[in-house]
Amino acid sequence: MLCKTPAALAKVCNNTASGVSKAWLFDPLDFTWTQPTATNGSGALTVVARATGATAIGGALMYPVILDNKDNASEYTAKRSSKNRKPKYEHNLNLKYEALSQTFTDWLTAIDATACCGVGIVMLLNNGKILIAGQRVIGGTEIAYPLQMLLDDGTFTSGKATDDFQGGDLNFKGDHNLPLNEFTGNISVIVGFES
Amino acid sequence: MTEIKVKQEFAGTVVGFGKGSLPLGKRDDLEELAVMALQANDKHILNMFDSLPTLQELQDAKASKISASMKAAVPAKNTPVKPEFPKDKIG
Repeated sequence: MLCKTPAALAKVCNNTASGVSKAWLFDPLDFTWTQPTATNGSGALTVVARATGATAIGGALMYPVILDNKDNASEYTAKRSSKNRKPKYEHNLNLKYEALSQTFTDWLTAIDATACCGVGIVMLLNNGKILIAGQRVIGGTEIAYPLQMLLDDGTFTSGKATDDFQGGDLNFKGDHNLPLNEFTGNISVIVGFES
Repeated sequence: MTEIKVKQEFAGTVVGFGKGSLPLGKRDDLEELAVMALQANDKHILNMFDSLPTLQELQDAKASKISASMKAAVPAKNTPVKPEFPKDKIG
């Protein structure tokens, strides 16, 4: 290595199904993650636990968001750009929630209140991979430059025809210099923190 | 090898990895957690243990476990293999 070593990239031949199957939201300060190569924030996350002082009774939970995976499927996208040789990833999780309702209003009010610090997001993809966005505590310590995911914009509609979509179309957005890391555990790990 | 011992006050602490989230006192895969915590030098997790083997000891133990299971799966070299024929086909 005379300057920087690149890395190999193997072809993925197993399940490559597209789409987001399910998502969970969490307070980024409530959970601490283990990252084997934490030197620059890159590397799969292997362990998750509640951070010191966070309790399930106090609300340190993984909050599931049930997604429609048929007609109005949700989607994670990221746009990469670079300036001054520095990469920037504009992360976006688009969620569609069918049914304008008090439940939806209450949920939105709670999410709007997270605007001061952002939310953490767990995404279960249809191919079984689990991506984490917005983690802020690694090894029990707050990291210097976390990805801050915020509910950025959204549209709401009652629809016109009876079979139109009615509900909210929301975008959680956040910019960072890294793509998302994967969580290596089973999805039952995340489910185990729902209560 | 040093014994893996969870501090009493963390026995009920839920930690999630591998197959699921369980209190430390109920997990039977603490070696796996120990390896991941040591590799990452995760002080939050490491603080939950009274004592831990070194990463080298854990990796050696895992290697010898795999080696033992491979030996068990492969028949011994000089064991004659007796062909089996269906009785009705033996004339």
